[in-house]
Amino acid sequence: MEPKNDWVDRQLAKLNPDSEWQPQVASALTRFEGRRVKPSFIGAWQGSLSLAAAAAICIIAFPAPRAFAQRIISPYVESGTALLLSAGDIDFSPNHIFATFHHWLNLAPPDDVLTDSSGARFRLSDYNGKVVLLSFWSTQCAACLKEIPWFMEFQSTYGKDKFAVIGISLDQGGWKAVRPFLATHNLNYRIGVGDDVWASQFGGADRIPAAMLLNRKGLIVAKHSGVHEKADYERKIREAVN
Amino acid sequence: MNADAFDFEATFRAQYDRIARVIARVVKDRARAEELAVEVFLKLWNNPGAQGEQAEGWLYRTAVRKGLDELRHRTRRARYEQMLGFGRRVPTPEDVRSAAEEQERVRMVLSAIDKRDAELLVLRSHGLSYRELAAAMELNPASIGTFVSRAQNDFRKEYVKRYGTEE
Repeated sequence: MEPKNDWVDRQLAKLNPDSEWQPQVASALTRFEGRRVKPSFIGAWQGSLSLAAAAAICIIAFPAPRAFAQRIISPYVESGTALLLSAGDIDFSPNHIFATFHHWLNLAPPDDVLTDSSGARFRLSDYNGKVVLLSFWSTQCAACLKEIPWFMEFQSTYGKDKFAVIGISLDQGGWKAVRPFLATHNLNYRIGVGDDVWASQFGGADRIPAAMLLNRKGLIVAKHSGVHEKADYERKIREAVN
Repeated sequence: MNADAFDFEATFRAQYDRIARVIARVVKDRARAEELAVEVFLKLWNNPGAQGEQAEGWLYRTAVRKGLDELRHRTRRARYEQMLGFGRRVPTPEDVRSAAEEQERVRMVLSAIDKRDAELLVLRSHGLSYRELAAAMELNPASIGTFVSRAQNDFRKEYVKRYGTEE
């Protein structure tokens, strides 16, 4: 019988990374430099709480912000009421309940005007009627770059009338960082530039890559952050498109 | 970067490859392993007390913990998604291949055993000597052999408990 230690050592040796893989020191150093100057986690939370408190005071104290907040919230109150009234149409499958509950946890998808790499202006509402895969990424994020070929394949396979991929870069350098990347990578889907504040309107992209799937009505039906399997993306897209 | 007595950039260039590889043992995804490796160095940057002669051990310890935390997070998320009907993907050809399945078993066992035992085993399999292990894990060098042996026994027990056999 094999000595115990040797058996355990053999099992752990199965995790050896393959010798062909070469971690990229130079690009890692660049990413480190880019992230090093960001505010600390604690500082960001303190700033966010202060802003939230100030916003709450403005909404309560002044009529104009109160009216604006009402305008934002009331469609969801109306949708919620309609949802309750149309009990016969409610899908009680775990997926739908999770997605609906998850939606209520997040703010409405913002409909701000965005600008793509050609300078054309667009809004997310322009895509109502289509399923949208919204990807939050950065040119400095290795895992994000790995997903790009998948998204290009999805755009080719499911695109045109029923589906679209939109990539929102969260690069700190904005278009300055993104344009050189686009010049050497021929992406077949629309790219815009956002920032953490804009992404927070979706419930945040606290870790990238992050992606959200919007159904034909523009509601978020799936959301995740971190590395994901290509097959999982594709399954969700197929469910939403069909 | 500032050229202090502790040369951060030189340390980064010298250690990044090893740190990324340690993490990659635990986290299957190479790109994610590199992202986590950058986070380890960001942590070192924000921790001047760790910058010095003990930096290498600190880096190894932090890296293996980051990797194992990521593994445990993914295991929990996979359980959660399965419960809600997400994540039931069709197995790919890679999944059904025996080698990938064996790696997954080893990772599952690592995510289940005591944290310190898992850290010891990963770093030891990475090739650290007992002296380096003791420095990285801040353990008594005279006792490191006992700790490793205990960790191996725990690994074996958990493996057999989960999979019923050693092979």
